[in-house]
Amino acid sequence: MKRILLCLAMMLLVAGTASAQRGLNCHPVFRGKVVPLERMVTTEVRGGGMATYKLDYYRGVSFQADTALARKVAALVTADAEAARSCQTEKTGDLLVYALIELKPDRKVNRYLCYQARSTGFIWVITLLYLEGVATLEDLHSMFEKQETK
Amino acid sequence: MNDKEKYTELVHRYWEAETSPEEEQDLARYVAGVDDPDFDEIRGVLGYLSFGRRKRGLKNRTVRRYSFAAAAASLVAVVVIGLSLLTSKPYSIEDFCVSYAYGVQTFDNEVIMASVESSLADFFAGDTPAETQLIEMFQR
Repeated sequence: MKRILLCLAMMLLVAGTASAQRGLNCHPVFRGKVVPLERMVTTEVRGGGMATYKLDYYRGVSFQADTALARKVAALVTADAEAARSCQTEKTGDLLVYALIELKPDRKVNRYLCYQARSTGFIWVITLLYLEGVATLEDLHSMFEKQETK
Repeated sequence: MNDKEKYTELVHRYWEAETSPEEEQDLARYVAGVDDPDFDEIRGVLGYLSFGRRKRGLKNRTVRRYSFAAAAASLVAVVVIGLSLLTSKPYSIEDFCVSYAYGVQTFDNEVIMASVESSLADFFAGDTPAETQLIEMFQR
């Protein structure tokens, strides 16, 4: 019973992180279920330095994939794009190579899914980001355009 | 009894503090390898505990006796966190910054944040990939 009380408190704390990408079709990618974690570069940041970008949470994965795997990941991203508030996508042939998706917000927290597939010959380098924060798309574009002009 | 039934019972025993360290390790290994939503909560708790143990360098599980005051403090924390979750800004007990490159953890926050900025710039700075390619074509 005492352990339950303590674990209940921990569950609520963990829930903030664990639920961040839950509900997304891309969730298995971030969890290493599509590509093993040992084959990816994964980054996760909460708070701290993300405040600079008006973001609370950043989760990114990057990995190499063949065309078949790239199509599989693209299909997951496409599924998330269908339920999004807005999205900007690009394709090479019939393969999705770029997506900037504004997901439906969670209360007043904006959520974004960013996907890019770069071709290096026969291999694709896939980058998938999940972001949360109060920043709007305009805010984010403005921040990085200002950095470019510096 | 299949695996799910076996480990479901183990989860119940875990909540009642009746599991041994070996059983907890076995349970942690199992829930880490299955994608069953029934085990999401225990997976979250065991993952958090595992991260904490690794961070503190603990090798042996220690048995702690929680007083009524500690239980009451936990309850208060639950209420406070619950109220915080109702506000617009999600509550976060602890900031963290972690990166793994092919299974090897990076501890350098500056390196991590530099990669974060680079990744964000790819999406939010200037042109999309197609526009970039078009610009490069006209510049040749």
